[in-house]
Amino acid sequence: MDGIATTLRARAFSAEGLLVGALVALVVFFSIASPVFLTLGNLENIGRQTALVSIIAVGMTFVIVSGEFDLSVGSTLALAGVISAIAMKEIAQYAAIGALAGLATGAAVGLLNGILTTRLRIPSFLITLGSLSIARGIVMLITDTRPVVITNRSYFAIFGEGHFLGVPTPIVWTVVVILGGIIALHFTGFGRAVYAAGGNPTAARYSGIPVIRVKVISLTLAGFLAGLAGLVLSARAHAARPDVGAGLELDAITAVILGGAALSGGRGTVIGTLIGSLIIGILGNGLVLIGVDPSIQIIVKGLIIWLSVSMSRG
Amino acid sequence: MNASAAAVGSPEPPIVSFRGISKSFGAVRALRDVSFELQAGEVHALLGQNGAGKSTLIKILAGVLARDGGTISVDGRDVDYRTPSGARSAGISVVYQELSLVPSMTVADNLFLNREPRRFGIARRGEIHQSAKRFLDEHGFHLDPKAIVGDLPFAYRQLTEIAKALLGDVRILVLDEPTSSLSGGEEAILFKAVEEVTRRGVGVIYVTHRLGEVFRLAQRVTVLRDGQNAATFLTKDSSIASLVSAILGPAASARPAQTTVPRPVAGEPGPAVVQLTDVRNDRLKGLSLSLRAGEVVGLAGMIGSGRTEILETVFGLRRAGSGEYRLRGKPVVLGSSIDAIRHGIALVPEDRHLQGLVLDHSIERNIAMPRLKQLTHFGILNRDASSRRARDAVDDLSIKTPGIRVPVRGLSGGNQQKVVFGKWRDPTPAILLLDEPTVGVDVGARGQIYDLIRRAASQGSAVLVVSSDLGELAMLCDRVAIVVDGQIRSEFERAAIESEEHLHQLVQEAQG
Amino acid sequence: MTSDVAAGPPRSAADVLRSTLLSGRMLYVAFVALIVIFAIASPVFLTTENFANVGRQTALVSIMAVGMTLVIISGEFDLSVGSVMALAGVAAALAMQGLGDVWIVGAVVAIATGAAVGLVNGLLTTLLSIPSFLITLGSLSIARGLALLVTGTRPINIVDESYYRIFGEGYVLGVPVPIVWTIVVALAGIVLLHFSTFGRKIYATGGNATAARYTGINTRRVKTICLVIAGTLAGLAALVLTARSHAARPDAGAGIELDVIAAVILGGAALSGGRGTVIGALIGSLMIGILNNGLNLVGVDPSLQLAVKGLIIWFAVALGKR
Repeated sequence: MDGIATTLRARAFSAEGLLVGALVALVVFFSIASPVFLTLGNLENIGRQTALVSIIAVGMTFVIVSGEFDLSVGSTLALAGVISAIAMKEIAQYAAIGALAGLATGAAVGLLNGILTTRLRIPSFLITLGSLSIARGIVMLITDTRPVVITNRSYFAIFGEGHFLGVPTPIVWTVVVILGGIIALHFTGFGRAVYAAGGNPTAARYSGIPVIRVKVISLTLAGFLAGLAGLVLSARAHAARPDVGAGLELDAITAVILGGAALSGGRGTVIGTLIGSLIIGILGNGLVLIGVDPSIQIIVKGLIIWLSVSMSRG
Repeated sequence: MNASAAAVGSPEPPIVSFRGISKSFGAVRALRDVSFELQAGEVHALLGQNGAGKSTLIKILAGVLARDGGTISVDGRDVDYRTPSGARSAGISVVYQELSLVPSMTVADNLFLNREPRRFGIARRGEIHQSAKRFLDEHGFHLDPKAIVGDLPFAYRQLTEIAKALLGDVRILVLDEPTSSLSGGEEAILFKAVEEVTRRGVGVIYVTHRLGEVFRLAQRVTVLRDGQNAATFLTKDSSIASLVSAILGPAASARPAQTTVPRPVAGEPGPAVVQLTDVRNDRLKGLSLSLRAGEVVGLAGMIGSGRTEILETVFGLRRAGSGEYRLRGKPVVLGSSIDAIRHGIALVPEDRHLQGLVLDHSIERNIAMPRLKQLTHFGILNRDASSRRARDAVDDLSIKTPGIRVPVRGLSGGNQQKVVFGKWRDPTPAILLLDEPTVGVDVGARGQIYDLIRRAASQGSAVLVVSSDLGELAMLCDRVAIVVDGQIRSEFERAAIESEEHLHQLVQEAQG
Repeated sequence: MTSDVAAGPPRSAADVLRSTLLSGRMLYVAFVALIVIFAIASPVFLTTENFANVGRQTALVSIMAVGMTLVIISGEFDLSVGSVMALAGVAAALAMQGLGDVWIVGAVVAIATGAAVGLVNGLLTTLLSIPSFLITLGSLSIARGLALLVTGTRPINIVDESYYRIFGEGYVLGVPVPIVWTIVVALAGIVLLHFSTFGRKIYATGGNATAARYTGINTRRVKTICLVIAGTLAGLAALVLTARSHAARPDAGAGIELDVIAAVILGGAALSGGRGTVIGALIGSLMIGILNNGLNLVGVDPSLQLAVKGLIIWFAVALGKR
């Protein structure tokens, strides 16, 4: 038994190498297939396009490592963007107000997910399936299904269109979130608790780790980061649309699992997630560049989910 | 080995006999050349310590495991099956410790699961119900065929299990520790069922830890030790003492005779650290216990007696309910293990894979788990300190590993257990709770664990040990309390315990 | 193992409430209450015509809920049914265009497509031992992508009159065929689940997989068959849907898996498997349908209906826990 487990683990480790290899191969392939691919403009494009998935996927990494799932992030993103836009319109035209309202909304949805999941002891994928629907319904309701226009220029600059040291701000935010995620997951006591809670909740409880609180915080963090993604998206579009973000949870979960996280929790890294997110982003971008039917891209997405979950196993 | 079995064999041919059964798991030889036979209408008890090979033998008989060598014959004909249904059709039926019933289905549906009377794929419900009722009545089972199994009290679920095992053409019934979770009254129901069954000519193989039951039920006893036949007796010719020495083997060879850490001179106990007075919850029935600094107290008793639950209550995993729980003289209410750890309590749990370790995580990660607060400054984990702590533990406890970043899954049982001890090493816990600390641990590591336990006590920890290995308790403890039905039935100072055999007798007597 | 560490605190008020709610009658009480409320709020609600309407509207969810009931009782989930329905409908429409406008061609192709996806779901789930909700999350995407791809994202028209009549618009003894199909599927589901020996295997597989295996039940095969049935019924739902709209749309059925799962859980199935009934799922489906219909009649915003749907899922899973 142990022999088999060791072999499997060795394969999983080489799977990390495989992942980087896949990323490089994709880059090489698309560079050859499309002259546009390796231009600075397109790379920025990829960065911007993957920003949303990457930011959300960092939160999802915490959730999955802690042994849970969050299917509601796409709806949460839309809700946070809309609340942010409405707050600026109704209260005062300050970027800070919009940001605060959006982030608080995201965190609140996450907190609710966490409390319901842990208190009712119901699988989080079902609880968040419910919040997916509820958050989307609320968004539709308060916007009357129409986009809410944003006019605040500093909001655009901070979250969507500005540059910081020459780098577009969506990319800057992604980098900030990733660094923050790396520190929180890999360098703090809390991060250790997240791994322990997902790796073996009973052993964690017997070791005095507050498993419930750890899961609630992880889900809250995922909601918070979905909120941030909502800000980035609405700042880029100059409006908060109620229908955005549908299906984004699939990309985020796929990125995390592709990045080597265990479905059952207790294993995963932020860097792995980033690579997973980049693979998805580059695949999407490259397939468009070489003119592949968008329908095929949806199929490819599903195939990647199958591939990543079957690689993950443990 | 075969000779002893043959010597007491009766003239009738056995309904089942195994000859020379062997089985290995990797490098571990679980069974070596084991032989056993059973007469019709006989209850044949199978005894042995944990790890002696009883469950492996049962699983081979049940077709769950395949044997490496040897023959099984039923009614004198060699049989060769490798699946549970193969065993069934050979007339062998096994009742497992873990209940193999579907809780959401009725008694009748469970009895006929996967062998329903049917017509064109449609189960004949009326017939199922009637056949079940007839069968239960005929065999004297007081069970309602319409009852949902999940709603039944434990003993009745066990009976359902036995009824399920007996339904059909069963010649050989195997009961694997059927009374381990039953109360006295419930046992009587079970024993009556067993007597009823043997009267019909069914042979019963009865696996148990309770020697008293052997004398009540069985005509013969076979003892396994270290995967081999140790002895076979007629019960009328044997005594508890002879069974115990057969179970333990010459000089209890699997255990170091002494710890190297000297025992403190008697008569200087520290202050009472833990005091439980008349504690009652779902499993404890008026438990009183006190534990002083620097002493090692053993909890002996059957599985299911409430031993583990005492530790869980002290550790805050169960509420003390009514009754009083004092730590260092002050009444406390522990809401969780987090509170307990804050009070300096540590638990080395019974099941290290489930409760003690995250198997896929490294030694360092596991050892850091209970001390994350202590290792964290302004939110940031001090990785150097954590690594140092892990390395110290590896050195101090002589954990055999290539490094502290190795997942604990790959370590041997003994080394895994030492990692669990390592979790609680620094700082030394004021109260150390140990649940079966040496199960699945090799001899060398056992000695080291005994030393650790004595050393913790000599450094002032109050230690509470649960163990089924009574020799271990006799050697380690300053005091042994015998737990029966969620209470301390009796308590013995070290001086009053003459030997392991004596302690065995004391425990058996306490069962009443 | 001596102890189950789930320390049992005394039953709280919430537990008592929950067990009362779970006693099974709650669903029927809520069902009747809902009907009474809408009957008072809207004069149209209690008409035969409106009931036929509700029946037609809920037919898709009800048909698929029967399959999902089997899947959930066996301890699995299928999130792909909405996409599978779209794919099966598109496949049927294309087959009739290519092979000739005969209803039987469409029917066979749709059912076979659904069954095929279900088989893939089942094999991947059981052979790789991966949670089915993740496998079917993948197939959700793949089936949708295929449907969009083969149609070029455009609806495919269906022109066969008998196809409309058999699956969508006809009547049997005055009853609209979508309702007839629902009844047929429900009866078949009841026979299979509650009367056949296979049904007992499904309960055993989800109720205690170890016990089932020790009793000689091939739990992998049972789960795979359940997922195949769920796919097959998604194919049948596709026939009903496309026959009513005279066209197969590749974007049909998105999100309908939520309704289907909610119906089953609302109907008393346990999330962890081993418990549930076809009748319960049907009532769950009807409740969701009546809620939608009633909210429509009394003029509630469709967006609010979406939020209500989410609340129903929360409510249902909180009840269906255990």
